[in-house]
Amino acid sequence: MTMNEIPLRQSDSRPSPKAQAVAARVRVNADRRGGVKTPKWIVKLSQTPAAK
Amino acid sequence: MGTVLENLHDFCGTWFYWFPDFAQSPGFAGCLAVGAAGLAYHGTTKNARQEQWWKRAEYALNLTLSAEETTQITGLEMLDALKSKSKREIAFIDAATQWFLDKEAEQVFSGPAVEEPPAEFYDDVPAPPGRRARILGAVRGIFSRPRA
Repeated sequence: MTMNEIPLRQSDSRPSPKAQAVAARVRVNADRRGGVKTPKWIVKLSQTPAAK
Repeated sequence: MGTVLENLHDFCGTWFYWFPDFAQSPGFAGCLAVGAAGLAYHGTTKNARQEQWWKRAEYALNLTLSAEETTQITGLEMLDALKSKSKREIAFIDAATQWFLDKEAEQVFSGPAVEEPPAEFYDDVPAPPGRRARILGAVRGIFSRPRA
């Protein structure tokens, strides 16, 4: 499947809890590498089992 | 040229008396050439690294735009694997994860916002004196610093 064939998400759709948790972990890791302070609720979200 | 060399001899003094002669030798030109090549190599590899990073980041970003959860997570994991370090790269990661981490997500995972009690609620707690408050503030500041 090429990039053009991937169905894109709709504007009214919501991310799944698993995707949210993974996104939180990605954000926390990026902020840690850059020395930026991450909001607490994102840190908390990144520590949920879904983010593993 | 002679005046310049004399000034250079004076400037170099006792310890670097050999430098003016060395500066006129082919060896010095070779050293400069090696230095210039090193700088050019450094600049080229840095640019190549940045270009590769943006290409991979663009690919990962396109995956996160997918409607399927598994593809989104694959894109997010690819973004994590890019090991972003510079401010621009981190800003890119922030933008890519923004849709996943909006305010509604905050309410879902941390519960409804709790209202701060009025100031009268804390009236029975004695206010620390000025010096003690400063010391406590400094200690709290040490422990509240983000961990590396």
